[in-house]
Amino acid sequence: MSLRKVLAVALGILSAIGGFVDIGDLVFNTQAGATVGFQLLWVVVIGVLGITVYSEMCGRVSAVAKRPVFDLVRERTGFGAGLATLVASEVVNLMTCAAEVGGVAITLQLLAGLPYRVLIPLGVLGLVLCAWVLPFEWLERTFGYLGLCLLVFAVAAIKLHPDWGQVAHGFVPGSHHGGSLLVYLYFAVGLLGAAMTPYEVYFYSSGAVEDGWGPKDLGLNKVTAILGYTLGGFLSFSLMIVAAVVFLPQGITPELLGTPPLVAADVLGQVGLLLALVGILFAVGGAAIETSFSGAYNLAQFFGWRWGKKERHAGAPRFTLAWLVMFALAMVIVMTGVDPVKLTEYSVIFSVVALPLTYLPILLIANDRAYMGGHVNGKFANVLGVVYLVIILVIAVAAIPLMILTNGGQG
Amino acid sequence: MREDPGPSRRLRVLVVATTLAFLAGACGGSGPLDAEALSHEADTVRSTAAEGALLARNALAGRTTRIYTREHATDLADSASRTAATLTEATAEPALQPELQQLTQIAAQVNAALEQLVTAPAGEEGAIADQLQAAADASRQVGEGLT
Repeated sequence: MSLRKVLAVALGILSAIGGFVDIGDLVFNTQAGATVGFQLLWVVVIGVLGITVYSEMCGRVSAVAKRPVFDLVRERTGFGAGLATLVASEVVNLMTCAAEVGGVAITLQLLAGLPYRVLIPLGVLGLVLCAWVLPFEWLERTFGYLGLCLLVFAVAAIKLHPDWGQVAHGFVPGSHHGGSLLVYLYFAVGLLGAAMTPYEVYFYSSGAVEDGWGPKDLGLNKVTAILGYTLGGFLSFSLMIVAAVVFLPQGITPELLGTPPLVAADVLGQVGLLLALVGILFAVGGAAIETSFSGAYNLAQFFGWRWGKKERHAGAPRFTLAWLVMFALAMVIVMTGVDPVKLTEYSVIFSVVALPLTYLPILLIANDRAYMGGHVNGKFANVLGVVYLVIILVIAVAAIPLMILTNGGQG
Repeated sequence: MREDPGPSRRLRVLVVATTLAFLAGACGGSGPLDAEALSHEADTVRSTAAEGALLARNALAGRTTRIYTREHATDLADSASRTAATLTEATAEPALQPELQQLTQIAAQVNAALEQLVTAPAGEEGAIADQLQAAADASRQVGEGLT
């Protein structure tokens, strides 16, 4: 592999790490850490492995079939099942996009001090301009690299000198002690949902087509999925660790997006605070673009419209209109005054309910020789795929009852 | 003679009844607060006060920006104000009235201290941090007394 190729892969991985965290991860990781300490670190590992397994499948399907997953979902599962998947994923996409847009406005408010309701349309305008002007690769990289500012939480986690023995114990599955079991399970479900959000795999798969991946890129797909998500998972660990060390002993339950950066300020001063805010702004802003695009990708691929960022806007007008409408609807939702953090909690929990509709068709297609030829799932991928499907089914059933019974994790 | 509704209908009725029970539980009703609900309110007051104290201490040490301190304190004050309003309108079982009153007072104090923090000149954050920490400790004691 040439040095240039290695550099390209490294840059891709870096942007994947920076783009790993979105508002769902920020909310659930810090709330889980502040509520049950290190006890749920193992769930992040399970979630990261799950999204890695299915993203690798999606990337492989796109690279081999040269078609994105949603396109194949309709063809493989038929109109009815495809439509159900489309509706579920669009509802979750819109809720997530609205939460991310709200997150952008809150972060801008914490940075600039302007009124929240003014910053919502300004934030959306900024995101739309970026999405309109920047090529796909630049979009991924700009938001991904600046999202790397979130590594400030990893530095803070180390500087806080947590009890590493306790941290290690948190990686042991099922290590529940003290507090409500239902709350523990609610956060376990939320963390899995936040890590395995459906828009991520749809965006990844469509991105693979946008980047023109072919069978020769299967190695790149594997490396990007494994390293990008695994290293991105360290950001989740960091958020949970800092919340467990700083918030839990003081009884602080993070209910505001401005709360996590307070740890960075506490440990690293103003520079830490600003890095955390910039990191959150770009992580959440990047996710807002990804969700709006994911919504447009799904619609366009389902109805057979021309799609893609690589197409000129006039060349794919319905696709362009679709992501603009996603942003507009998200803005309207946030302007109603709904709390973005609460919206995040709902969107993550509802996305958990929709997870089987996303992941089952991917598993079916990745095993279909008519599409995949010799690149169908191997035994290892299938074992993992089936195990995760069972996990997904269980948490999909449990998600809403747990949310209601625990009052959204508040006990 | 009425026909047996059959297992599928019974299952539907069970699902609907369970859902309604969940929703009723989630809505919480408007009856008097019991010890568990009051303890939950104490946790909320404690969380807001403790976070406000942490913010004020960091502001005093120059570890936050003025804009962040002002905006985040405003958000926390809004949260405390909502909790204070909820507690003011709430009723509790007779034996829990003293705790409810105490908690309502603490929530109002937290709200006032956070509003002070929004406009506090440099150097005054220390006293506000002390007030908020005292409020956090007091609400923790109220909560512990209820469990």
